[in-house]
Amino acid sequence: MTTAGTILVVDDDAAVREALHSLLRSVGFAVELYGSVPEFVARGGLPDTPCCMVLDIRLPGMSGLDFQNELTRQKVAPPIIFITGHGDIPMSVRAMKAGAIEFLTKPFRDQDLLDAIHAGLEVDRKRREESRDLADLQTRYAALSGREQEVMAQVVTGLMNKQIAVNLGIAEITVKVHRGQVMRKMNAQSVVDLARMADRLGIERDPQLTRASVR
Amino acid sequence: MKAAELPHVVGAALPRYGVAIGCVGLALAFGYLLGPDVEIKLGPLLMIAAVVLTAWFSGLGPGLMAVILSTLAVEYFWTEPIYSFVIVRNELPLMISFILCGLVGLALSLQRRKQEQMSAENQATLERRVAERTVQLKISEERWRNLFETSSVGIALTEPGGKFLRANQALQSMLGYDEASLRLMSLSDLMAGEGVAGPQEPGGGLEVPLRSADGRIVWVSLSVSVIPASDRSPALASAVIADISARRSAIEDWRRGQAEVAKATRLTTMGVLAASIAHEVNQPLSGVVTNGQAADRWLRASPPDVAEARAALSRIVRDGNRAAEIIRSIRNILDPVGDEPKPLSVNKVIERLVPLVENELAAQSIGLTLDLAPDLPKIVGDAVQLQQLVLNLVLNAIDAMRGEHAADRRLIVRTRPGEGGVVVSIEDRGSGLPDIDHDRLFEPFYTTKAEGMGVGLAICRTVVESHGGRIWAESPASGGARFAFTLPAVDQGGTLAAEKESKTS
Repeated sequence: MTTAGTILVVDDDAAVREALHSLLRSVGFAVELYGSVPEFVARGGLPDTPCCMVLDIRLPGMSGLDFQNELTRQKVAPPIIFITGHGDIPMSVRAMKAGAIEFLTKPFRDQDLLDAIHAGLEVDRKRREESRDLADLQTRYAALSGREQEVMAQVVTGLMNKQIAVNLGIAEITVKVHRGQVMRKMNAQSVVDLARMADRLGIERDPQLTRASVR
Repeated sequence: MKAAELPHVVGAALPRYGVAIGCVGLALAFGYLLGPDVEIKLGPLLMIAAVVLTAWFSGLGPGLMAVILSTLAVEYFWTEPIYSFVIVRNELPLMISFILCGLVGLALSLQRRKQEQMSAENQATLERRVAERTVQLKISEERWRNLFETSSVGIALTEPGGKFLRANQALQSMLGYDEASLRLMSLSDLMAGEGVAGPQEPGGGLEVPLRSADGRIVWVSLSVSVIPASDRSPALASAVIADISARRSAIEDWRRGQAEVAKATRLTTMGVLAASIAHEVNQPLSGVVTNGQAADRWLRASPPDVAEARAALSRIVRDGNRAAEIIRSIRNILDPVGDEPKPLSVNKVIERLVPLVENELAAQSIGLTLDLAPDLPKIVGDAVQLQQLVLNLVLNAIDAMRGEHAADRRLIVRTRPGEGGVVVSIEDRGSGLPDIDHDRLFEPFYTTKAEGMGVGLAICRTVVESHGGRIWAESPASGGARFAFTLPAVDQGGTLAAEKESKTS
């Protein structure tokens, strides 16, 4: 029943840390313990595997909420589960708004924590998968020739081959050939599929182009 | 013009010259009636008298006229040849002598007359001055009387023993007695209790409660000055008595309010403490719960991991004991010490407080430095009050660093021997003190906090001063603020050293 992943525990209280260590190991997680944010930063930071952070709100040096903001700002935030001695509503709202998975008040039910951790790991796994997919896509896009990229941009805008030919000043048959190459190299099943890829790659559809061609 | 003046001049001069003519005429008549046959020539003697009289009554001009007239009369009536103005040679010395006598009489008489006139003038001047002075005195007296009678402050004139002699209207209406009844009383009869020293300012005399005619207590400010005895009057005392009931009741209201605010502040402090305590105890408790859950999972695993389960169980015992220890130490702190102040170690008071604020410090990510000097003298005081004092200053310091993104979030609590006892300082690296006279910080209702009431530091000062110390604020060079206070040391006997000093001196 174990989910592969590393759990990062940041809590200044040794008793809480040790208990969490034992609990999380008993269900098969790899666990790393830190007493404070600076200690976490000093000892290597985020691992390369799916992970989830169990973070105390009240910490010496830098509070858990501030640390969450900092990680979000650097775009490296792992899923975070906050634990706190006495959390108030504004605090939990702030944490959840900033993207926390869960906000647990000590002492908490072990199952609540484990559920949150599973959810967090799943989120992280997905995030990692997605970022891996995006990297693939970017490699494929980079493999297109300049002309093919131009054709792709116009295809995903929804233009007919004829219009593209006029726009680019080439023969319609040439457009057809480029289009076939784009579909093959991008491994796209349909124009809709290609359009989705263009979205993920952030290729902009030029509305002016559309209007010019219609005329 | 001359014609117009002439009758007036003549009118004024006529009686005076008439006197000359009259006197000489009278003398002539007497002399003549007594007869020229008398051996001694009476006529000339009488003529001299006439000259003197004329000069006396009418001055120089008529006097000279009298000399001339009498000379003519003597020449005519009493020298040979009689009844003729012819002057015979042998009568010449007599005539000259007569004229000289007349002139001397005239001069002497004029001299006397002048003196008389001068002294009469002096007399008149004197009388005029006396009259003027009398008027001035009357005005002055009236002015003082008005001041006395219409003053809004009570004024009384008493014997040195305090017996009333005079009392003005304000005093009569203040006390409800008329002046006659007051004259039967003395100041001490009216006093309804011990006086207290008034504020340290000009005019802030003694404050005493007086009982008015209807039995009401009137608090007054009383200042008495003694008027020393002079050769004309015995010693007196003047008392200025101002009704300060309104002021006193305002002060009493404020004191009552302050006590209530102090109570509210204590409750707030207790609220902060309660949150802190809850967190302190909650940490080991959540350790206990999680360890219990972990042990359960280790035992339910297949195969069960007994070693891990036992490790978790021993942590449960440890954390449970820790929770109990925290509760015990808190009970120590909150235990009422009783009313009797006793010798205390300031360091212990501070050390016992630390667990209560540790959590708040951690929450604000503030580092605490305890710089406590060993071998401090003991002080006498109320432990609970002193804990509140330090706690208040520490919570203030934490507040000052709230939201401050200073790299060095530090709270330094320091004790040092000094100033005849112990000096305690609480220093922060917060926003610093406002740019005003630092003494004002301790005034009631002065605040820089949006949600503050401005009573915290005022209460701190009350606590410090009731322990015989003083409190002040300063800006350390390193930034932030430093609040420091002193507490006098006790000697072996347990009395305040400072107190003893003042007794022996």
